[in-house]
Amino acid sequence: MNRFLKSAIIHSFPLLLLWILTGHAWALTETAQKIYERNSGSVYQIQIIDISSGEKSVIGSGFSFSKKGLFATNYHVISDVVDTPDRYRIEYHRGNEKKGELSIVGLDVAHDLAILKGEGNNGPFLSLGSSNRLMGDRVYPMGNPLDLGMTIIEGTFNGLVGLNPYQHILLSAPLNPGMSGGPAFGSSGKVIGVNVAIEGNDLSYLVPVEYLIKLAGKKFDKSSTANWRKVIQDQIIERYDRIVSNVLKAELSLEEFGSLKVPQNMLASAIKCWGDSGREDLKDDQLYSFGRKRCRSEYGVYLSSKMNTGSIEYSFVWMESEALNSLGFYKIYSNSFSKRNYYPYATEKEVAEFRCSSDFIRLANHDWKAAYCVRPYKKYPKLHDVYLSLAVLGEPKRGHVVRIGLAGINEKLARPFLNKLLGGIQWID
Amino acid sequence: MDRLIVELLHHHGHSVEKRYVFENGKATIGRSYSNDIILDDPFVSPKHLSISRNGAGIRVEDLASENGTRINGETNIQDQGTRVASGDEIYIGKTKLKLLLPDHPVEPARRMDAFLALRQFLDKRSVAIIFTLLVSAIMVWVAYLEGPTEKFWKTEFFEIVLGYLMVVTFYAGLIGGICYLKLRKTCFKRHMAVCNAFSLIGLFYETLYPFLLFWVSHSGTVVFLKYSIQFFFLLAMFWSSLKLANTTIKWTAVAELSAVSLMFVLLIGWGAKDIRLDFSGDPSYPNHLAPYLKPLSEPQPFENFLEKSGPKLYRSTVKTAG
Repeated sequence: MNRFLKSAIIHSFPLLLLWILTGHAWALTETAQKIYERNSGSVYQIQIIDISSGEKSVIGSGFSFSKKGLFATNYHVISDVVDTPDRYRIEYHRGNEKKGELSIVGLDVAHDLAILKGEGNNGPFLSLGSSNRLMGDRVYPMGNPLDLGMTIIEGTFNGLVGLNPYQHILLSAPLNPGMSGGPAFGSSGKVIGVNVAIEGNDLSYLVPVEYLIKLAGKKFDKSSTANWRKVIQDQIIERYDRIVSNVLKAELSLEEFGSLKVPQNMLASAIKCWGDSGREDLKDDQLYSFGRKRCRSEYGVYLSSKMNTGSIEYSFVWMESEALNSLGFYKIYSNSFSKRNYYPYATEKEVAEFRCSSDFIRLANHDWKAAYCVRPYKKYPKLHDVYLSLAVLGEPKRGHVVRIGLAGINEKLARPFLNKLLGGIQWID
Repeated sequence: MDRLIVELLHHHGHSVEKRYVFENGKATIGRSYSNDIILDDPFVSPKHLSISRNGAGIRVEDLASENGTRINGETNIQDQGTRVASGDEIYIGKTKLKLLLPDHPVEPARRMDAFLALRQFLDKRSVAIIFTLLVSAIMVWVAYLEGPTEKFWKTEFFEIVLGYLMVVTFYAGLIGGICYLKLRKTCFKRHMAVCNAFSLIGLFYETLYPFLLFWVSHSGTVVFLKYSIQFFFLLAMFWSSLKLANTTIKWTAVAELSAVSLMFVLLIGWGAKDIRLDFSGDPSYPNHLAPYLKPLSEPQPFENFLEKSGPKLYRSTVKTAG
């Protein structure tokens, strides 16, 4: 009897192991299944219809979150409608069936969110939760990737990244185009964020649901809904206002760079810096030595399908040469000073031409040549792309160049930012 | 003395192709081999014209020719005679002749001046070759100073020398061709000399212009100065070439040269996108830095520069809020 029991346990052990191992997986799948079953009735495909051809030109996802018939999606899904309202309209679909049309009732470009209203929508809606989660918590994003059909995937919560209050949930799950604007659920089945961007392999961003709750509580009056561009402009300026005041508050600590002491990254949560250098080597066609520190903001603002903005980018470069004479060196140095970048690509419809002012300036006890360039946005007249290039004068075979681009800022806000960033630069003798 | 001189002129212009001297003071002209001057012109009759000295003038007799004889491009005679003066031009068929008497005045001898001596010096083949090689050597030297890499002698050196030889040949060939059409001579070696001299000046200017433009802070002024200099450079180059080929240059020729120079300059500016009509997404500002130079006055602090220039850069560029 004893031996019989023993053999039964031994024989059933692999089965038991299998049950323990797979049971866990079954449990997870069940969660996803439950979430899908319970919530898929509130998740839709959002289609931007080109009115003259009657066909969709952009697809995304969206979900209903209130009994008033309100839908949430990303601003970037519906941006074309804001940009050219007479060319597009918004529809929401399930499967291959059109459920109705939507109109915009709220926007937040800084967080890439939009609230839409569906006429006569009395369907089920999702309840909004909180993005306050533990690292490694399960997250279940839903959406319609690539127009293939509604899907649910599973990933893990990896904390909040970025500058407060413009943070993102870092999610390890493979979002795909078309899922933008869809909800991401916590394991309790409440929405914790909105799918927004794909960063890399299995790495995606969600907009924390708190920003959606805040947006839903905001009242947009009639003049706003008639002129979304003004709203967008104000939101972008407000975003920059916060960034600049954060920078102004930040303590300036300097680090050595060539003959200079330049500020260390003042906004580590939003701006990442990278280094690069080269040594003079005539065998390798490298005529001068250089060091470069290049910093750029991680997130910008999606303005329209024609333009991204809101980025901050700057670089410090030192260069020197032994092999070249000063004339030859200054040719290369002039080229570096005249290199123009760090502003978004934009067409004539979006922006006016840059205008520049150039002069000699005094900074860090040295003379510099400076060029300061600004171009206004045509649809958002208070927004500008600002570009600054500086080159120090005086040393025949050594130079420093500073270049800064601020996209979609108001020029008045750019000045204190630039003063804080560069005003403290020091020269090491 | 009854001497009578007939010059056969080129049908465009006044250059003399051939000169006949008749000591007996008379001659017949036509296509027939019995004439004193035999012409191949199909529009000339076999016995077209007879000329003879007549006191202080020359008598011209059209011998009932098919197409007649035109005097100085005006009166046309056929089967009749007329009297012309020394130096008058007559046209028969497509042929142009000039009739002269021995006492016809000539210009006094020109002094053998420095300019003439220069032209002769430049016409020597050895001078043309040595000058060209010298300039390409200087170019190589300057380029090596700018990029003294190890690869220089394997690649760039050949590019510069061959490239420069091509430029010289092309320039001298092109201008030589134009000169041949106008003056019946190419003056190839003289154009080579001009190309060499101006390449040297150009090289000097290339080195110098950051110093010239260092203090200019208005980008429009920089573009204007840059292309004005290029325009006068090209004009001077073309003018020198023509002047060396033909000492008497008319104003019309200078106007033509200016037009060509201007065209080149605009093409260069258009290619470099400095002169543009369409939208450019990039800012443009003067970028000339030069070693050893300093601002002329005490430069303003960085903060003041931003405060002063910022508002000026976008005011009144956008009219209405969208």
